[in-house]
Amino acid sequence: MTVVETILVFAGAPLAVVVLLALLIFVPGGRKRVRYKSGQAWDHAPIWYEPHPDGPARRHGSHAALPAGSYAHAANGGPLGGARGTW
Amino acid sequence: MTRALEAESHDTATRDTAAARTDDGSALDSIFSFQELARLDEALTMSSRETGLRFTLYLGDLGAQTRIRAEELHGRSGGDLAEAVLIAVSPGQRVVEVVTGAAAARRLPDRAAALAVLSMTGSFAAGDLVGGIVNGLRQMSDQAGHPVALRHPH
Repeated sequence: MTVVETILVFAGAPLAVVVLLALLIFVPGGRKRVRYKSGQAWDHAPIWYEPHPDGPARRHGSHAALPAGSYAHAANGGPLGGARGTW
Repeated sequence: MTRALEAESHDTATRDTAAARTDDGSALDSIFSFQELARLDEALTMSSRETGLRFTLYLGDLGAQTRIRAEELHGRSGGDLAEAVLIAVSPGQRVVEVVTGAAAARRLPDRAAALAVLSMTGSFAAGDLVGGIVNGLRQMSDQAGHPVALRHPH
């Protein structure tokens, strides 16, 4: 092998492979959505997801609420419960 | 490499029809992929159907007073508020709030909600928002069980 051939095989070929992989990974447009990482800022607009309104759940809608005390018809849904967590 | 179909808008909307969907300008999958959205949708719908409660998910900033803001949002979540359960996640502040109405709180005690929140925060810390939400919903709907009307159909 001549010097030129040696350089092509042992330096050029690996370099070509690396460049090809780098292009495949970093080419723009491949991944538009940024994956959320903990601690990262969240600059999306607020969004609200709801369940589908129809289905078997509606079947018992007329008598789903239990007969309850005076607070059952409070405007805000009565005394609220729940939990809170941070990460 | 799969990508969402990008349809060119030719603005076929007329005065009498609704706006063409691509006219809206915002991509539906800008936060989550369609696959993740389908998981969220299924989890919300199935837990609401199984329990008879109304689970909704708010994803966004909750302001300085996260609890008060979450309770405000619960008041606007629609439907029968006593049976509504709101999961409010603020990834920017790293806070999750679960708010249950009066009737929902009887089926889903605060302790059970706290347990679900604990499993959610574990996934959130690892960067898995959708997985955490889906698992939290599953835990809460398991805890709430079936409503009396679904247990004894008549």
